[in-house]
Amino acid sequence: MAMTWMRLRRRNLAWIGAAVVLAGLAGSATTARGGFDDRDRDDERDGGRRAKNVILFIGDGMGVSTVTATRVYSVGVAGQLVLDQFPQTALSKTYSADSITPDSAPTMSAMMTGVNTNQSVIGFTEGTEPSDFNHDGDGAAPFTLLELAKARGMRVGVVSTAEITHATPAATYSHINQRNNQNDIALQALPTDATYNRRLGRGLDILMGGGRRHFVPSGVVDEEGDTGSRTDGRNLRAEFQAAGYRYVWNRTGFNALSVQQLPVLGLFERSHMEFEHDRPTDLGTEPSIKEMTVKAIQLLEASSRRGSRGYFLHVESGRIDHAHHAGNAYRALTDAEAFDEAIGAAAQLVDLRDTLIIVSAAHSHVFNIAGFPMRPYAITSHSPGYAGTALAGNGLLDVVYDLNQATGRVEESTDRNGVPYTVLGYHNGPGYRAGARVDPRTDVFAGFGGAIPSGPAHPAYFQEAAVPMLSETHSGEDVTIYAIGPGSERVRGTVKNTHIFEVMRRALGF
Amino acid sequence: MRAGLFGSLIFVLVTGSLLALAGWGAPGAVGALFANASDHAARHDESLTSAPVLPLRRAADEPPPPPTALAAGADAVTPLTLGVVIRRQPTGGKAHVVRQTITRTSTRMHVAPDRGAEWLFERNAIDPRRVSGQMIDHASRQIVFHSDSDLRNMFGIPGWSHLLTLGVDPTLLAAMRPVPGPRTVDGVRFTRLAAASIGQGLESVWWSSDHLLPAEFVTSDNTGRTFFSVETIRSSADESLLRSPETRFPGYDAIDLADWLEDK
Repeated sequence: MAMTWMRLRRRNLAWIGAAVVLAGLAGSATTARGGFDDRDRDDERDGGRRAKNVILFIGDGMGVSTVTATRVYSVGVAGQLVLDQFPQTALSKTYSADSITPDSAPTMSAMMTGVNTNQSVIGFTEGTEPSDFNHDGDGAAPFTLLELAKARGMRVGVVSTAEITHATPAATYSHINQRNNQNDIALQALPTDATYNRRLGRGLDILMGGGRRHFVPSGVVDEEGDTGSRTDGRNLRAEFQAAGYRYVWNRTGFNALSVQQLPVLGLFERSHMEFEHDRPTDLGTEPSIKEMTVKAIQLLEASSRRGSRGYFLHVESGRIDHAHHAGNAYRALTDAEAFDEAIGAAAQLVDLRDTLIIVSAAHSHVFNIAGFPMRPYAITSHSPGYAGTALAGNGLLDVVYDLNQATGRVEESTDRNGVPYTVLGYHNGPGYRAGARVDPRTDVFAGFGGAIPSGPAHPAYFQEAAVPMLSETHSGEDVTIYAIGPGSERVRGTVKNTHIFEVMRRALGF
Repeated sequence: MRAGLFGSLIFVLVTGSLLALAGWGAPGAVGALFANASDHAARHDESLTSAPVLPLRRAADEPPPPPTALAAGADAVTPLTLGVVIRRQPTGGKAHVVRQTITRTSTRMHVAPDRGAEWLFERNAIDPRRVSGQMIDHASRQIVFHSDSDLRNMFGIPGWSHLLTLGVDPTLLAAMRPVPGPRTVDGVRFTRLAAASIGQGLESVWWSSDHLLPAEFVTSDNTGRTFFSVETIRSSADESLLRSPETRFPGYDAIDLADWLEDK
């Protein structure tokens, strides 16, 4: 990494000029690579309105099935999420340079730079291997949209419910060949550090989320009684403050934030922030993703009125992915629901005549909606024969009930052994049952070592998985891009996720 | 060329006649066509800039309960090292047995099973009801941090109190019936308490109020019964086991549960 950053620093001597050139070349650079269909296929015609501000929302792991399930759960099967009301949509291909199914490092890198790359790699081209395992050095480091925005005098903010140094948020402001090196990623955001990413100019204006452990020395107890994990003994909380940042860690500090206090570093949890369902139990009473989004927009808008040239804000709902990995659909849906609320709050708050909002996902998961579950109103109208069991979660967090079309009776759908099954499930993951399947409503799943009171509607229910694995995996299908505001008309068709960079870049006129 | 011009003229005349026949002959009819197109564009523009309507959502769920309060005397328990046997009898299945060595103080607990990963649990320094855990996975050379929420969600551990008492909820004991005849294990005295009925939850327990410690208990649920017994008790703790796992195993990667799951 040191060699890489020496190279980067040399480049930075002329980086302002290079930024514009690189931005223009980003799309064509990928076209030269035979064998990869990474080229952004949108035409280069420059039309439509320009945006002053761009907000990029990313739901990590929020594939189409997650959005559908969240809709049914949150507003009913015929209801409309905020997302559903966005006028422009497209399908986004998520593959990375070396994998059909990606992780978040290459996908967010693609969305932020317009250049596809390899698994675990952040902000470098595809000639970069994870941890440089073949010792041939790293490839080039294309500019991210956030870096380009900073170069144009815009304010920039990054908000996540995951660790703020985690792959998705990190891909907006850092370049590293291994996403797990989060202690190093934190240093790239610290203006006074030798490895600081100088493309960030005077620094990120807002950095809020979890991941305090990467800012606290190992063995040192933090504000919530947990210990840090920096092995170099450095207290980055203090170093960020010495660099001019306002540091907050709880709701009291968060609520008191004002535009005069920019730049801001908010670290609300040792690790990732709480799932939305668990947030009320947090020791520091951490803010919700909606509250962080609103606060970030308010601060950036106020700052913008003081002379900056608009802003770029990235907001990630990082824990949809984590809940899916654990095989716990409830937390994936409740986090996705909170994400939709944050998007709604943003859309209400900004002027959509000058602010482009894009929503997409890093990748999908092997999560599905199975059987032919009946809608709740249909259950009411077909009450003869219905056993009277309530349909949890609008019929989603329950076993499947279907209409027997020969008898007109509503019955539980069963497997070949006559055992009911749940609507939601996973292709693989920790939720496999080692023995014979039992009725999900009486299934006390002990797969993680503890017997948790269960049933499909319980927040701690772990949906069944077909393939036994320690963790549920990502999936390789396309995800959706939703857009509203100036420049959103470019979101259409089926595109590579690099197209998102192009949409944002052109909307801002870079 | 001439034919082309003539053709164009005929086209305009015919088109004009057709428009007139169709009722579009009024002044501005062609303009209206374009106006319609521009209205459409305007509506499209409007849809690109109109704020979405906030939907009416389901009612919010009850949040998880707060961490369990500490039992009286929890701060004063003396360090112990316990030899423990856990026998699990699944309903209709084959029983299996796990042996563990548990090192317990008032703020930390180390669990070393006869095989598999070690665990170090730590009471939270700010809120003593809370607990975090680190799984030391020797096979992968990883130390996996579990927050208090992780422990609650994945293992049903509601707080430090639950760990300190090895899974026995002291608030349940008040409702249990004392059974005469104490017993001792390595000099520690236990009394027996029994539930009014068996079949679900805690059936019976040998309990030491002085140490907040069970010597033996039985639980049951739909999937089977679990028999827990303390076989040996030593009045000391190996402090080296209670040190930070990152200090004990400096070559191991320290990661969070979410990232460990991401890597699997």
